Formats: sequence, C-alpha cells, structure tokens
Amino acid sequence: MAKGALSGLTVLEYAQGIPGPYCARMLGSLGAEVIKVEDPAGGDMARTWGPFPDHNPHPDQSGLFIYLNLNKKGISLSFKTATGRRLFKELAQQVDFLIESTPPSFLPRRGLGYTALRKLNPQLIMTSITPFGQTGPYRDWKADDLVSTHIGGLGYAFSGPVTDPEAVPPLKVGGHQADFATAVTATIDTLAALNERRLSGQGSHVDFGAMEALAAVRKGELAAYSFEGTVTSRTQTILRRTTGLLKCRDGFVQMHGTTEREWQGLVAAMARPELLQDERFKNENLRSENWGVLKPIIEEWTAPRTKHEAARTMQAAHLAFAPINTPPEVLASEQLAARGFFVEVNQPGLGRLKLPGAPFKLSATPWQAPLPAPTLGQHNQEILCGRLGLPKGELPGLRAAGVI
Amino acid sequence: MKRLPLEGIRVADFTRIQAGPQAQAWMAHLGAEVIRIESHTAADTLRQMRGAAGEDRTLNRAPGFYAFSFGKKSCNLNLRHPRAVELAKGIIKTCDVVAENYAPGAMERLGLDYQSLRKIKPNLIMLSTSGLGQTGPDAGYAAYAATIHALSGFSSLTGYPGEERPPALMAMMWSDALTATTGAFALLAALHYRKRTGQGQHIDLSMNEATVDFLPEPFLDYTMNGRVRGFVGNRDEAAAPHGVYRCQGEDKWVAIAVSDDQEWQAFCRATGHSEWASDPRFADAYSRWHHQEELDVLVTQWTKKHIPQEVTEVLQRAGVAAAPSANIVDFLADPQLRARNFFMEVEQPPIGKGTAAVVPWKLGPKPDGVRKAGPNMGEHNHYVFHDILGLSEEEIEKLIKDQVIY
Repeated sequence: MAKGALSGLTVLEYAQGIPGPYCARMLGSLGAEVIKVEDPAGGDMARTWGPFPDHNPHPDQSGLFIYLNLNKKGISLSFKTATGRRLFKELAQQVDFLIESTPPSFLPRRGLGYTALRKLNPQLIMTSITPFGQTGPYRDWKADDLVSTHIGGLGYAFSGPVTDPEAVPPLKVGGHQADFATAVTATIDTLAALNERRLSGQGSHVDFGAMEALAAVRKGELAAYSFEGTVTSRTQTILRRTTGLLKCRDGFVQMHGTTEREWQGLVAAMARPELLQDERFKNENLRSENWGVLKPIIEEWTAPRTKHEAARTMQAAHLAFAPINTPPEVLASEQLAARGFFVEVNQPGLGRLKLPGAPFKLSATPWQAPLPAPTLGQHNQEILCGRLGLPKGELPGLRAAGVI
Repeated sequence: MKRLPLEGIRVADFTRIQAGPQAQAWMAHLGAEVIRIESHTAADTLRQMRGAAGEDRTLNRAPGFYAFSFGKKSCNLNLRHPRAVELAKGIIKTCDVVAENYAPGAMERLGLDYQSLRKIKPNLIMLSTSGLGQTGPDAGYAAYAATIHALSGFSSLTGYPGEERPPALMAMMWSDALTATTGAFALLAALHYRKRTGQGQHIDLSMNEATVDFLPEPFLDYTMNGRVRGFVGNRDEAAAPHGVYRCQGEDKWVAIAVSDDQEWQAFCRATGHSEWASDPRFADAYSRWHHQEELDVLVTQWTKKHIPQEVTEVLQRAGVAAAPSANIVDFLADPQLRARNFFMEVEQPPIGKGTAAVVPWKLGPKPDGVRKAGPNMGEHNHYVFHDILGLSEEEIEKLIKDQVIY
C-alpha cells in the first residue's frame, strides 16, 4: 500500500453511527491505522442501518456501515466488564488519537475519561464528538441528524426560498449531511491538536459539538445579522436571485446567475437577440426583479430539450447550467469516470461494491485504496494478542466471560 | 506563552467567494498567517455583497466577507500585469501553502501552477479547489454551489416528500461549506506529512466529489438494489414520529426524533397523552412509521400550544431528542453557544462592532482560535511588499501608480 500522509499514526475509535466513525475513517483514508472498538452485544448501531443488498438486513452488510468503516480493524470489548475496560486502557496507552462519541458522562463514569487516560498517555489526543459538546446547558441533550440539522440552523437555509413559510416546515436535506459535516469538521481540530502536540509535547482533549460545527457554516449570515441587522428569512435567498430550476423535457436544469457576460451568452444561445433590447432585463438588478417574467422565457427554450442537452449547450457558452442528476446519472458521469472517482471494495460476503472515493487527489500521498470494513470482533486476535501481547489461549476465556 | 497550533505557517491565499476562503478561515483561526492576494480588477464577490455595493468603492463593508476573513491579511496584486506575477512568486517563496480556486488552467496561464511554483519553492503545498477537479473532460464546467448541488445528485434528494414536485431550492452554499472543510483537512494532513518528510504536494480538490462523498446511501442503494431514492424531507426511513412541527410564534418550529419504543413511551408520558401510547396504530416503531401522517397531526396539536424551547425542555428531560429549528436570530441568544464561548465581539473597521462565530471546538485549556478583525482591501500592502519582500517606499509608490499593486 502506498504511503499515506498520516501513515505511522494510530487511532483508537469508540464511536457509533456517523460522526465519530467517519472522522476516524477520514484519518484512516490518509494512512493512519484505525482500531475500531465495538460493544460485543450488537456492535455499532450503523450495522442496523440500510441500505442492505436485496433489502435484507445483516449486521455485516449495511452499505452505510461499510462505507463509514473502510480501512479499519475491528475488535469487540465490553465496557461492562473490568477486563474490557482494562484492555481498552492498555490500547489507549499505545495510540496517538482516541475518537469517541459517547455522551459526556459515559467514559468518566467508567474510569475512562480524558483525565484518567491522560495519566496513562500524556501524548494522547482525545476527540470527543457529541451533539452539543462536553459543557453548557445542553450537554446532556440527545440529537440525531434531523435534530442537529435544525438546531444547527440549516433547516431554514435548506427550505428556501419558499413562497409560504407557514405551509412548509424548515427542511432537512437528503442523506445525513449534518452528521457528515460534523465528522469532517472534527478532523480539522483533531489534526490541529496533533500540530499543537508537536509544539508543546502534550496531548489534548478536543471537545467538539455538532451544533457549533453546523452553526459555523452560517457564519456569513450571522455576521450580516449582527453587524447590519440583516435577516435572511425563508422567503429569501443569499444566492443571486436569477438562480432557479427550469423545466426540461425529462426533469429540471439548475441555472445560476445572469451577469452581463452571462446574459449576453444566454440570449445568444437561445437565439433571442431581441431580449437584449428589452427594458425589463437591461441589467442584472432588473433581471432579478423581473425573474418571474424572465424564467418562463428561458423555459420556452429549455422545455423541449432534455436536461442534459440544455446543460451541455449552455455550458459550451460558459453559463452555469447543470442537470438535476439522480444517483444513477452521477454514477454514469464521464467526468467522474475520467478521474477514477468511484472505487470498488471487495467486501467478504458481499463481493465487489462500488463506492464514492477520494474527495481530493494528493499528488505525493494518495488516498488509500479501500479495504473492507471489519465484521464484529474480526481483529480481536491480531490486536489483543499481536498488539497487547495476550496469549492466544486467553481468547476463549475472554469470550466466555463476555469481555469480547 | 499561548501558542496556536499553526503558528509559523504562512499561506498565500488567492481564493474567492466561499469554498476557498472558508478553508483558509479555518487555517487563520488555527494561527496560520493567511495573506489574501486580491485585486480591484476582480474583487471577491463576497466583498461586494449587500452594504459594499454602490456608494462605498473600498469594498470594506460586507460583514459576510469578514466572517470568512477574520485574522487574515490582505495585499493587492493585479495579476494581469507580469510584474505582479513576479511579486506573487516572491511572496510564495516565503510561504508554506498556496491556496487557489480559479477555473482550472488559470493559474497555469499565469505561470503560477504547482509544477512552476515547486521549482521556486520545492516543499510547497498547494491546494487547488474547483467545481469538478483539475482534470477530465468537464474540468472547465462553470460551477457554483447551486450547479454542484444539481450535478452531484444532492438536489435530487432534497425536497418535501409527497406529490411530484421539483427539488427544494437551497438558500445557502452547502457544497462550498463542506468542500472548504474537506480542504482544510487535506491541508493539515499534507502539512503533517511535510513536517515528517520534508516533502510538499499538490491537492486537487473537487466540490462535486466532496459533495458526493457525503451521500453514500443513495449511491449504495442504487448499486445494491437498483433503487433510485427521492425526497424524504424531515422523515426517517424507519422511525416515527420524526419531523419538524409547528409551534407558537411566527415561523417557529421544533424538530423531534423518536428513535425507539422506549422513547415513544417517554414521549407520550411527557406530553400527557397516555392514550397515544395505548393506540394500536402507534404500538411499535413499524406501526408508527406506517401511520406517521396521522401521528404527525396529533403531535402538531400538542406542539402548536407551545414555543419550541418549551417542547424541547419537556422532551429532552424525558430523554427524547428534540430542539428548536433555529434561524440566525436564535443563534445570538442561544444559551449553549453563549456558554461555550462560540462568539467573539469584534471591532471590524470600518463597519463597527459586531458578534461573529469563531471555531466550533475547544482544545482544553489551550487557545482554540484567533479572535481578531479581518483585513480591509490591501490593508497589508506595506507589510507584504516592504517587510516581507523588502521593496523601498518609492518602488511601492510606483507599483501602486502603475496599477501593479491594485
């Protein structure tokens, strides 16, 4: 395997769902060794989340779980047992990072909080990812992706602009955007803490809350409100107003903006030169104001065409038009194929599975080729015996005692 | 002496709008010296937002620009001028990182592409952010957040469930935000690698690819089952009630997520509706999910009598996930964000005092982010051209007159 940017670093993960595991997976994709610890009773709850092949639930075949846990080694340890907690401490002594997403009082109550672990490993960087952080009045509140999306302020942004805000609630976007954004934001401060460790020689406890990560996304509007009193309601948009969806023969095309250059290109592409003389569209402000009139005029051109045809023609004129693609259309993209974006993993029991790959290309230290996600406790022997030096003969006893 | 994690790292920042500047905002908050290289010939759209347009030609009035620029510096270079390109190279020689988000090919035409720059700065790390990546048949695609949302499949998954309707328009630049965050992660990893090996590298970051990476389920559902997913809105695939419900007050809503039967029982007790708990339509998660329309009507009858904070308090006390759907106005008053010191009060010349977000994390007792104002256009010309590059006052004067420094 090619050397990764984070090769040589070791991550211990005690997390479930999306934010913690995806944070650790990002580090693993750049070469860090990731040891995922799961509870022997069922393991990570993402194992129960779809999609499953043929819609048939199976703890080792959740597509989402596999995606979140590629390039990891998996062990099972029960924190209900003293031995399980002791083995976890031994592992924490050997690693650079601990990524965890338990409620704030969970680990301290078991003698596994940062204060306890720091005594064993002063260099440890512990990243705690929770919905609201380790402190403050909401620290013990629960949230899932929906609740995080909305308390993080994204619901209002994602539904707009709407004509009647009373009729439709603020909206959560497709998939688990809040959870993924939380995960990737947490990688930044985790790596920052690594840099800080180089300066000070000391590890640190990174206290990370999803609500803040998401609220930070809207900091532009936050500043506009604080400094100027400007509030973007759900009937408005911070985007240019001539941004919209145009009807095509087979769906919609997204259009963005009509600067002077774009307007001339658009009029030429539609072969409607008379529009340049139209007083209602003389400049960008007027085009925005009269968008209600302009949009149907552009739709006269898009409606008889397919969304791909419309986007191709306009892109050739350097206009920001794009088809509303469905996932299968994205999978068929020539651009993504040319860049080798989708990758395949050979997941035992499932065969070859096509997955989204690297979000960026690093010229010297490539994103790691995907290795299968672990089954529950798959690497118990390798980690507990290989790393911690337990004799192999101990494993049956640990299993019988419910430790692993 | 309190040190920030990236102290001593210098960035030459050629980026504009959001996907690029937001990544460098993370870097600046972490203590890197981020020098924006910008020009009046093509001022950043964010500088031209709202208050900035029209009467004030200095481009120093848009809070939305400063939100992504706190702690950065700014110098002016008109890169259409060959002398400006030479000066840019001079700056880059003193930098650890170059960041840019021009259309692919533009930096190469200026002679400022990675292959050229590594000759003058061998261990350089360069982050190039673009809509669809630096390579491939569509590298030149005109891309903004809205078009990337469309292209990546994201729009096709975002909307209200029910009858055939178009996707919801998104009033924000989500793909810019997630791309910026992904880019900062890549930069920090590359900096770590350089510290260890001395080797720099080029990072080719695609907004489209970063966006698709946040959407694994619909792609896997299609490859595994041939199923094309559409809109689910605020709903969950298996749990109910799971939605955003109307509350007292103008456009006020609360998000509620009941994840299992135990939480459902707690929900019924907390809302004082024990009759719901014994209703066979809602007896288990499966039944609730299949009767969620009816369930949502009942839940709304309760939430409508309360403000979002009341609903939240009652449900969180019972162990059920709930929270107000917050808008910007709610943030500034939010007790959690206040308690965690999420904001800074900043004096931003020339627009005055305001409150702004810093970083969403705490590094224990260590400083977690720079808390200072953002740069006016060209505010650090003297620092950059005199202190860093060693030009004399007369030379700088002439370069300004010739619109090289412009």
